[in-house]
Amino acid sequence: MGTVRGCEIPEDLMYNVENNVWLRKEDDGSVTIGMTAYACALAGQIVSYTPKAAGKDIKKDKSAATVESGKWVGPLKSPVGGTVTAINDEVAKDPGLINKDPYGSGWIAKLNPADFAGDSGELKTGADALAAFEEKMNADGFGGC
Amino acid sequence: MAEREAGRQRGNAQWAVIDTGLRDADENMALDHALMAAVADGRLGASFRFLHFRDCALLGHHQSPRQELDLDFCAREGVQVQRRLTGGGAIIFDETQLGWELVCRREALPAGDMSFLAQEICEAAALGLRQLGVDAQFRPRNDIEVEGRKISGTGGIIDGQVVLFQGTVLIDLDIPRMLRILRVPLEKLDAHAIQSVAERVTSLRDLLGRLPSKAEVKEALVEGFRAHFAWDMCETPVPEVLTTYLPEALAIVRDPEWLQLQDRPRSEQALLQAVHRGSGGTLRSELLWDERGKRIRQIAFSGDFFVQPRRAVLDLEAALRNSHIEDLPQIVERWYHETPVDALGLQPSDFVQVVREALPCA
Repeated sequence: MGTVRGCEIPEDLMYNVENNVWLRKEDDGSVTIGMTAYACALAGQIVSYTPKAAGKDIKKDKSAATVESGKWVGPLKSPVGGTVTAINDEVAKDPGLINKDPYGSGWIAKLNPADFAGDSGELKTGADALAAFEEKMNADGFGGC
Repeated sequence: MAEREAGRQRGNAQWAVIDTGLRDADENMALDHALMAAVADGRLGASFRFLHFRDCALLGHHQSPRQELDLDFCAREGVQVQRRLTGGGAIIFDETQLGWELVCRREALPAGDMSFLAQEICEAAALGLRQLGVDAQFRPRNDIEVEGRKISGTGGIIDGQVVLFQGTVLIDLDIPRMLRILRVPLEKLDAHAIQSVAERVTSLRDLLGRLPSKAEVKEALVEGFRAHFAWDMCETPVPEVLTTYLPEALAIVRDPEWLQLQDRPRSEQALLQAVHRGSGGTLRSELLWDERGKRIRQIAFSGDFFVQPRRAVLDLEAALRNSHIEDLPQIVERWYHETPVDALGLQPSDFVQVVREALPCA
């Protein structure tokens, strides 16, 4: 498990660092997406979660869900385009799961990607991702998780 | 403090101050979409907007109309219902109130997390209101209050690198009408309810004993932001570029899907109450309870007990808003230890108990 300024950044996931989202490619070709621990630290306690419904098509870098914390709303932008296949009912019941387990039970949506190879080229992973998050945290003036 | 200094260094952009005049709620909400899109596309710089509304009710982004409003009353009285891009709770708006908002790229604002950023902006607005002679202060999480009573609610959205943060100023307030439109944690809409709201919400008219003009309030707010952030703020006409974005934005907010984005029944947000008798007196809780999320959406404490200062109880209510039931004991304990409370026999456990006794599974 990689860590940047106290925030867990698993090195086996792929990231859109600017939008602060992670993506995991599943064995069946689908993808799971979610908020990074860094995004959770910036947001604080999440109290609402509204995902796009299953069956909806989402373009790359467009909102797959919105979350709310302390009266701030934030769209979670899908790193790849595709069709939503599942939303997280447990998170709908308890949005705080996103904070507690951002890379596990707090996932945001599952999609069937339309063009994974085309859309994922700029996503970062491993040491590249850790370096990019360090740079982002520095630019954001972020002290640490 | 380091963040604030960083923010001041970063926030050296020029700010255009615009006033989009009296509008229906759908136009005002569409303008929020348009402003964000124009800033995202690099076609508009940092903007500070004043908003004026015809009679309407505005829902927070994730709220359900059926749970928060008396929709029959709104339809009968011609009260427009709209959904904000920003978070927080439902509010009413009419011509006696003033809205303000800033829209910009993230780097135009102080660095730091969302909580810090909200505090910085609210402190600037509070500083502005203090120019009018009222002791406005920031109260976590996002309220501006005067002696414990709310005078301005706020909320924000951050979409990629674009931020919109907005607030209200209650210049005047018709509490009975507010109680007809909004769902509040009170069982009956009677004199007790009006008194209860008056203890928690205030207006400039109430505080100053006169009705200040909107021009006066606008000037004070701009001065507050200018002084707090050292921004260069200049009044300008409404940017022409917004007309490019407005038709699409209007289509979004006028689509019934926008208002129905969240549509949950009232039964999932019940009004609950309990009375608890302890050695410190009789304590009553009335709360709007989110059964699905196990959260206290709103809460009011009343009863026959002694707590000084009185505002301490209002601060506890504010701290409990939107909190998960599991966090209740910690929030009450923190409030009790961080606030100088003289409670004559009332213990934190009394507040925890009167909330728990109201819940369905107590």
